[in-house]
Order: sequence, then C-alpha cells, then structure tokens
Amino acid sequence: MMIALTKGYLCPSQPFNGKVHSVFRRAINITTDLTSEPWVSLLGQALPATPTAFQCDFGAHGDLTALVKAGDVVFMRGGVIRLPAAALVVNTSAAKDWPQTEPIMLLNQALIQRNFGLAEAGLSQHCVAPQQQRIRSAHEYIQHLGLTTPMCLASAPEWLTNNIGYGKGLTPSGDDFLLGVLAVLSSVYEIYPKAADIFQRIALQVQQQLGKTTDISAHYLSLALSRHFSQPVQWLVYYLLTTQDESTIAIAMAKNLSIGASSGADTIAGILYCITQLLLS
Amino acid sequence: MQVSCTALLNYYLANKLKLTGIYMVIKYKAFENLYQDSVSLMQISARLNKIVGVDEASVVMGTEANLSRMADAGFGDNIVAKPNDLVIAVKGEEEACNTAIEQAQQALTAKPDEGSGGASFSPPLTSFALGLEQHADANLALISVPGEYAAAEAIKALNLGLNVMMFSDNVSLADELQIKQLAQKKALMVMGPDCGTAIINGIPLGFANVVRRGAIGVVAASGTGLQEATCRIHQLGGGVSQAMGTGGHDLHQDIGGISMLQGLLALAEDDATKVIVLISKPPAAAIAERILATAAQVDKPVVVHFLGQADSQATATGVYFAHSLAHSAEVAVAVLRNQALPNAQFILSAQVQEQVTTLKTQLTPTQRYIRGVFAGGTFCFEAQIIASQYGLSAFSNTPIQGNHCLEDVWTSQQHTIVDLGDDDFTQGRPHPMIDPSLRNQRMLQDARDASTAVILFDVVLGYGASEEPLAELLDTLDQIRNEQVSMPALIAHVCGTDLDPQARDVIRQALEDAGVIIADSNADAAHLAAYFVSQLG
Amino acid sequence: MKALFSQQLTVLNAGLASFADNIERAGGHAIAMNWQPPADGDRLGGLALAQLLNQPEIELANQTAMNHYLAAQPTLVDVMMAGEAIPALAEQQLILHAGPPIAWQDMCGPVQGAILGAILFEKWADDLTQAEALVRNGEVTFEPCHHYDAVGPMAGIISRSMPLWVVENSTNNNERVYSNFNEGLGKVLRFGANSDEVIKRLNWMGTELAQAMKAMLLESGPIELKPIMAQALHMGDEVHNRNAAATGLLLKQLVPALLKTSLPQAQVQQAISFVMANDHFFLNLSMAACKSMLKAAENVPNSTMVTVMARNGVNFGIRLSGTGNTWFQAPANPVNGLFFPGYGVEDAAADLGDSAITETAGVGGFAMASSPAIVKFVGGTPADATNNSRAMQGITLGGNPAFTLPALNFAPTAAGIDARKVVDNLVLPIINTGIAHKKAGVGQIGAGITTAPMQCFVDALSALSTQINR
Repeated sequence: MMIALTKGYLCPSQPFNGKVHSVFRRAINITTDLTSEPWVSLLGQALPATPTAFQCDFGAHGDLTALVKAGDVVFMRGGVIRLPAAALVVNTSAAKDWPQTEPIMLLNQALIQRNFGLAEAGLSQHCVAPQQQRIRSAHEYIQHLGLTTPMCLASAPEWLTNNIGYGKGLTPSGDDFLLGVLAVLSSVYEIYPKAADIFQRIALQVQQQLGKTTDISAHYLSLALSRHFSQPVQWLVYYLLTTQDESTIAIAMAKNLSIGASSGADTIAGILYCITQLLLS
Repeated sequence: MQVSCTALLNYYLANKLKLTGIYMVIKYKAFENLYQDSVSLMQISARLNKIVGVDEASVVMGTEANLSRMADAGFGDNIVAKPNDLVIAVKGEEEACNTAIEQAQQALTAKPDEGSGGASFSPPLTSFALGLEQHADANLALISVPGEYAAAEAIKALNLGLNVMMFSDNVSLADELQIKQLAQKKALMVMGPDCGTAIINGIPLGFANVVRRGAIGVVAASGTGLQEATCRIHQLGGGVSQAMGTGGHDLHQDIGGISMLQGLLALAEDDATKVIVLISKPPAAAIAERILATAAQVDKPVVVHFLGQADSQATATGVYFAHSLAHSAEVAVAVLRNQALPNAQFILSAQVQEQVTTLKTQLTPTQRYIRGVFAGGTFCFEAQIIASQYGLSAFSNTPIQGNHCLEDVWTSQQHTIVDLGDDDFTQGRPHPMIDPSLRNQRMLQDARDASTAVILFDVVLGYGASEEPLAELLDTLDQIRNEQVSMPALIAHVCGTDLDPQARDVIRQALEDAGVIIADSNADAAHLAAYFVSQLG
Repeated sequence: MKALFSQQLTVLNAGLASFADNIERAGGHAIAMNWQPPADGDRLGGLALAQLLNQPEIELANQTAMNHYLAAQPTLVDVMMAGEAIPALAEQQLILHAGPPIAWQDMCGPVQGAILGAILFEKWADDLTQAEALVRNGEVTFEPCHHYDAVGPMAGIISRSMPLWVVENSTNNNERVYSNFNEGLGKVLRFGANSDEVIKRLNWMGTELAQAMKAMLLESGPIELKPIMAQALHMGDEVHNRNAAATGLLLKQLVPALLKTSLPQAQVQQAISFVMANDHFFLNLSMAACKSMLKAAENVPNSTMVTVMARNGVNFGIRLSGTGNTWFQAPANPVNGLFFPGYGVEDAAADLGDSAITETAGVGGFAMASSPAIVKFVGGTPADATNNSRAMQGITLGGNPAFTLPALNFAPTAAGIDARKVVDNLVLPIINTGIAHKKAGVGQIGAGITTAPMQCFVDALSALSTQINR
C-alpha cells in the first residue's frame, strides 16, 4: 500500500466506483461516479499538484503504463483507492492539503512591472536551445507558438479561444496559454471588475469549445472556468503580483518551466500576456 | 542522474520546436545492497538491450572488476558503487535510457507473487479488510454475527468505507450511538442494529420481499413495517427505489433518529426517489418534531406513519400522515400518481357485514375473545392499536399503552395478542418467520380454548422467511377443523408479493380453501377481527 | 450514500451464510465471508482493533516504521566484551536472558541452568550450590537482552565476560545492537548446560575466539549482513533454523581475513574449525541483523508494527513500535514439531529464545518457502512451506525486496508484522524454532514450528488504543 502525500482541495473523500481514463508514466487519471468530484488524478511527486489530484511516490512501480490500462476499474473505500487489476493500492486518508494562495487585495504596478521583467527574462533564457533562433520576449514566444491573440484583450477576449486545441502535446499549447490568461484574470477577479468581465466572456466561449481539445486538457480548462488552478500556476501568478523577492519569482518560474514538455512555458506566456494587457497597459 | 534538469528541458523544447538534436547519453543507477542472482541480472540486461534507442546496457554488481570492465566498455569511469550495490548502466538516447532504468528498477523491485505452478493461494476471508482486498468493489457490509461482536464489526466496516446493515441485535445504545455518529461523520449508511430488512438498489437484504423497482423510497424503524409497506406498494402496482431499515432503537431518545434523518436526506437527494415514506413506532415528542421538521424541508412529498398516532394532521405542505402501515403505502402511491388520497378508515361494506353475520352464527356463546398470534412484531403492535379502537383491551407479551401484560406468555387470557417473534419466545429457538411451528402450536392451543372467537394471524413471505410456510400450517388447520365442533373464525394476512420465492397468490388461495378469511393488509385483517369480536357483545 | 444508490451492490456478508445465498438468488452480488470472532473472542480487544483500523495517523506511522526497517543496513563492525559494550553488565552483577522479563523462581529449567553456568563462568561462585545461593540472596539481577538492544538464541544468556558481535546500522545514526556468539550444538549454555566442558568452551570463546574475530574484522573491514542473508535465502536457508549456507558465505569472508591476521596459527586453525563445525554459527549474526533492522523501526508513535517477538521459556512477549518498551505477554503456544529419538512432547520446555526476532524481521518462518528442508520437521511438504510464507503476507505491512523467495517467483518476503492484521485476520505469525529439553543441560531435543500467541497482539492493540484516546 502506498500513502498519498498531498491532496488537492477538490479531491473526493467519499467512496466511489470509477474507471481509469488515461495513464502515463507517472500519472493516472480516473473518472468517478460522483457528481461532485467526477475526476481525480494520481500523480507522481514530480508532477505539479492540482486541485483534483493526489500526489504519490510511484518510485517502486516503474512506468505506470506497463501496470495500468485505460478502462481498468477503480474503487475508493474509506479513502483507499484500489486498482485491482494492477494490484495498486493508495491510501489517501493521510494526504496533506497543499497550501493555497490568499486573495490579492492590492496591485502595485511598479512591482508588477519589475516582476514581469524577471519572468520574461526567465522565459527567454529557458528558450535558449541549440540551433534555435533567439526568443527575447513573451510576445516572441507567443508568435513562435503560432497562437493568435487580440490586439486588445479587453475588446475581444473571445479571440483567445480560437487557440483551444492548437499545438502539440497532451495539453495543447493554446490551452496552456489560455490557462495562464485565466489564472491572472481569476487572481484579480474580486478587486478588478474589468478582469471579472473578461473572464466571464472567455468562460462563455470556452464552455462551448471544450470538445475541441483532449479530455485531459478539457478537464483542466473546466477547472479553470471554476477558478481552480494547479499549485505552481496559482503561486506564480500570486508572486508575480505581490512579491518583492526576486528569488521567489525565480523558484516559482523554475517550477512552472519544468511542467510537461512545454506546458509550463506556454502557461507562463499566457500569464505574461495577460499581465501586459490587463495590468501594465 | 548525470544530465541536469535544464538540459533535459532544453532537449524537450528542441524536440517540440522540431529542431531535433539527439544526444547520446550515459545513465546509471546504483541500488544499495540489492542482491540478485546472476541469472536474473543477465535476463534484465538482455531486456534492456532490446529497448529501441538503447545502445548498450549493463546490469552488474558494483565490484571493482565490474566497474573497470564497464569503463572499458565506454560507460565512463565515474560510476560510484560498492561491491554489494547493484549497478544499472545504459548508453543511448536520453528517453530510451530513462525508460531502461525505469524498467530495470521495476524488474528488480517487488514482483507480484505468481506462485510457481500449483493452485493459487487465497486466505479465507475472515475479516472485512481481507474482503475488501479481494473484492475492491464491495460497498455494503451485512452483519449478522452474535451481538457482542457486532459493534466492532460495524465500526470496522465503517472505518474501511463500507455502508453497513446490522441484522445483529443486543447491541448497547451507547455502542449504537457511537456507530451511528461514526457513520454520520463518514457520510456512510448504517441500517440497524436490529435491522431485519432492507431493499437496496432492488436487492432484498435480510428478511425482505422481492418488490418492483420504482419511485417510492422507504425508511422504517420497524422490520415488518417496512415489509408491509413495500409489499403493499408492489401490490398497488407501484415500486420501491430504496427501502432502508434503521433498527428499532433509532428513534430512542439517546439515538435521536440519526439513521432515519440520514435516510430521509439520502432519499431526498436520490434522483430515482419521488415520494418518501417514513415508518416508526411512536417516537419521543422531540424526536418526532425533528423528523417532521426535516421532512417539511425536503422538497419531495413525505408520507409519515407513526404507529398509533393517526390523529396527527399534516402541518406542513408535502407531509402526509398515514393511518396504518398499508395506508402509508396507499397514500404514497396516490401522491405519486397525483390521485385523490385513499380513505383511511376501514369500510364496513355490505360484504363485510354479511361475512360477520355468517361468522357469528357459527360460534357458541362462550366464544368471545380475539386471539392474535403474530410472527411480525409490528403486526402485533398494529393489531393491538386497531383492537383498542373497537374498545378491546388486550393482554400481550408486548402490550401497547393501555393493554396488559400476560400473566403467563404461554397461555392466552381474555383478548390476547402476542408477538411470537419477541425474545420471550425465541430464546434458543428460531424466529417463527423462519420456523412457524411455534405459531402453529399456539393457534392449535387457542383453537382448543372454548372462549376463542377469532384467531388472527400473519404469514410473512420473502427471502429469509420459511420457504414452505404452508406445509405445517395446513395440517394445523385440518387438525383444528377435525377437533372442534364450533371452530373459531380464522382471519389472516399474507405479507409478501407475487415475485417472492413463495408465491403470495398460491399461499392466499390455499389458506382460503382451508377456510381462512384473507385480508389485503394487516390493518384490514385486524379491523375485521376486532369489529367481529366487538359485535359479539 | 448517494453514490451507493447508483452503484452495483456488492455485499460482504459476515454471519448467517444464508443471507449471502439469498442475495445471490435475488440477482445481487454477495461474498460470504468466513467470519470468526476477532481477537479470539475478546470483545473489548475486538473493539479496540475496530477503532484502530484504517486510521490516517496509524497508516502514516506504519509507513514510517516500515521505511526505517527497509532502509536499515546492518553491518558487523566489531567484537567487544559484553561488559564493555553494555556498561550496566560491568557495573553490577547483572545477567541478561532471552524473552520478556521473568523472575528467577518462574524461569524454566534451561534458563536457570544457563544462569548458574554464567555465574560460574564469571567466577562469582565456585560451584552450583553457591551460585544458586547467590541468586536466592538476590545478589544477581536479571533483565531481558532486548532491554540493552541485545539478542541471544534459546536461554540467551549474556554476562560481562562474554564476547558480543557489534552490529551498526548506518541509516540509523550508526545505532548499535549486539548478540552473543554461537556455541555450537550439544552441551551448551543456551540449552542450560553448565558443566566444566561448557565453562571451558566459554572461556576459550571469550578470549581466543573473540580475539580472532576482532582481528579478523580489522582485516576484512565491516561486513554487511543483509547481502549474506539475501544470498542464503536463495541457497536453502531461512536464516533462523537453517544457517548452513549463510555460515558458509560468512566463512568465505572470514577465512581469508583471518589468515591475514598476525595471530598464532594454532589460534586461527582452532577458530576456523570451530566455525566450520557449527552450521548455526551465522544464526546469532542473523539475529543481530534483524534486531538492527527492527530497532530502526522502534518508537514511531501510533505505529502498530511489531518490533520484537521473544520468549523466555514460559511466556511469549512482543513489543509494538507505537507502544515503546512495554512488553505484551502471554503463555507461549506449544510447538508442533519432531523430536529426536528418545524424546517426546512431555520432555519439552516451552518455546524459548530471542531468535523470533528473525520472524519479526520477515525471515525465518516468514521465509520458509526458501527452505523446504525445514518443513520436514513438521512432516509438511514444500507446498506447505510456500503457503506459510504466503499466509504471512496477510499479516504484514508489505514485503522486503532485499529478501526474495525463489519458490514464490522471487516475491519479497512478507515483512513488518501489523498487529491489527494478526488480530483481525486471525492469522498468527509462524515461528521456526528449536525445542529445548525442560531440564537444564540436556540440550536440543527437536525442532518444529510454533506461532505467536494471539493475546499478546490483542493486549498490545488495546494499550495502543488507550494511548491514542488519551
């Protein structure tokens, strides 16, 4: 039996019957028969904590795809998740909640400007690779990804949803980018009515277009529509808007950049885009 | 790992940007003090070498000789390992190397025990924990172990995340409260202790009848009460979504109706349930109030029957009071179908009047008393209530308020209505629902008593009950008829459905053929018997 | 509850089997369990167990204890005189014995005989009569070996002038544990013999042999014990009742190192032939290694993992990680075994010795599948041996990948006994054991299999439950 280390705040605690939706080397996504928590993931420690995931140490199990198949039945009883076909047992009852950010009350434009600079530099530096043209700004990175963005976010935020499903990967770049935008809008939702308005306009569109992307990406997008974001994304946005400490930004950036193949960088691009459009123009 | 995280990310990024740059890397991992025989090591290395993208793989114990041999083979000379360490080293594409090391790790660590031929070993299921290990889908624990162990089993089942039905009784109120509070905390269902019957997801549990599935949900603090209501619903063409027993002590002051409230709320949330029926013997006023208040808040119609408290009037919209067990079913079906509410009163139809007149002519003047002989406790209770409405004050082993205790439970005196399923009779003997011989003996005994005017009894069908309820009963009835010049009237009710293992129709027909008057419900049977006796003067 | 209504009902049925049949007949799914009263019918013990089942703080504690146990790297580092390694032995007339604490008058014959032998060996008395008088006057005190992180087979007697193996665990701050030296078979102190021959051997072991082993270790350097045990498990040992392969593996390291020492050749030869003649020589090292692994798992609050099982010839005692140094005792269960010709069950002492530490650590009876030879003691078959090993998987927290069993397709040995599973599943830990004659000094009269008594586990859980509720 394994003990789950952390649990997201949207994880089920009630018994459920479920099925494996998809499985990766270090992650298992599960659909449940609970209406309130229809989705739950088991993620390796190295993967970012999300509101709907339990993090576990899968070290001893090797590649999970060799062990678990999509469609395998899953049962949770008394906080213990069992995958009988894989003889996998995870006790979630001792898992700790990961810390969430506090609501942001004040915006300091000078501070945000500075932090934006740090993050943009971090993103550019990250994109240095052999034989690759130099990427100097978030804008260039967005162009490089081939995403379409409106000239003015406030006037046509719906445009962004054209990117849903666009790009490579399990969570297409366009979706990751959109997540970043939504994360910033959500963080200032209460104190900045314009952000709330833009968020709602995007949300309306996203809802209708969830079918255009992968199930997993759609899951994270729909969480975002309810203003739930993964731990690293939530905290990066929070720090960009509040912290004085450069190294805090650097650590938060590194955490995000290490997510997926390019997902982290794509989300950061969305965050930086939204900060420019919303808070710095 | 020899490759830094950033380099790795850059590699991924390069790949993503379609600027392919594939590096040849060397990776190794040393497992401290992991002894493996050389055959296994060779097998693992062969497997790793087959992975596409792996140039060369080596799995060896980290002896000096092995390390220098590996250096010669181009694995570099910076592998750090002790002789008792197991070293895996791979050369090749980054991704492939990662896969290889993972596969090796998997092959080296715990393997499932497949046995080496021969039958697989499975330990006997002595505990719920083991049960769940082998049947991860289990979602309900049905506990009918001796009472002294039942509380511990229920707590275990709840701690393991199972819903619970406790058939066992003789559980202290303190234990019951603890169990129910634990269930509440875990949002799990507990039925019982002393819960004889339930129908969950259409499956009859314990002593239960086979009832059509439908839109009426029932929560009852009385076993036979629940059976009567669900069977009546079925007979009326309705169906049951869920039927939950709470056990007889749930509405006790100390427990406070936790299970009934929890059941009520669960049914309120259940999409398949459209009408809810609550049944209980009269609870303490405060508890009744709490239940009614909750029922009023539920946005589904709730039919309430507190036995013997028929005069209550509906005080909230959507809450209906029924007058008997069967009546609660009738009200529920009517509410579901948007029909006028059924009459609560027993109708003295012309047919009944005629029946009674005929019966009277067959009695001698000494035959004056009602003799109720019940297997179902709630049937006995309900019969006493109805008899009292006709001014019949009865003796019983379980007297309702206003009735009297029998001097000797084994002997009837005047009007007597007994519950043969009570502890008084079942010590060291099977329950009369399972083995009706005790009931048959008592009927014979009462028939021989020259003061008996009517024998009122129940026949309970369904799973758990006697598979052949007729065999001995018909013999007894024959014997009574052969012995008695002036036979007492025989009035009965058969609680069950046509889907039960013992077909209800067949049973009713056979009893009618044997001269028994069969009523549609326990209440009707009691009304007929009591009215008849009251007419004897 | 809402979810239940939409799920297929699967019932675990405890009690009347007909209820399960009826559910199946009605088209439902029910599993008829083979329910038995847990805790052997101890109602309150059963309730304590129920409260401790699937509790986050316990699961977490057990994981911690188990990880400490798995990570342990017991390493033989030195040989020391007992009085030097355990100062209390030098400071007072103290003798250590196997199992839980016991008073002189309650001790079984072999333990009393061995204690008297140790008194003679220490020259605290000139003869047996004097020795006994010394004890009766209360001038000698007794304590379990485990109180000083030491272990000894059978009577498990340790006094100040005896040599001890010193085993360190590098993953646990180099904490040390100790065991005495194995004397071989026949007339030996651990079976209660105390004749001149026995004392003479002890003298030689405490001087020449101890010196030789100490010098040997200086040459060989520290010897890691887990790899030897792991390899021996693949060679027919279960490293409790059979140590032939492990002793051979030890010799491979011992002989070359011993030859490199500057000790007189006669001393080296005598030491080598002593070890060669005793297939059980490794047993005491196996025990020390097991004690070292389990010491790492001790004192994790709330843990239900068993860290000690030991017998004093009358009672069987256990300790849990979460209840610290408290012993939970019950009369030892009888041994199911074979007797050497001329002896029978009426001659046998009750189960004795600290060697059940091996089972506590997942070897011995738990690894019986690797040692079919041992099953012959109880007239069993190799299939029984593998079934025993599998049965132990039902009462443990997991497996130890360092110890694998060829007969079970290299599955790890079941390890980390969870007292809750013992009480709930009614499966008792299996222990391979030798049988001592109840009279001091007769020696081993048989061998077989026994189990740990249920009541120890029930009491331990009750105590832990009280502790948690406090």
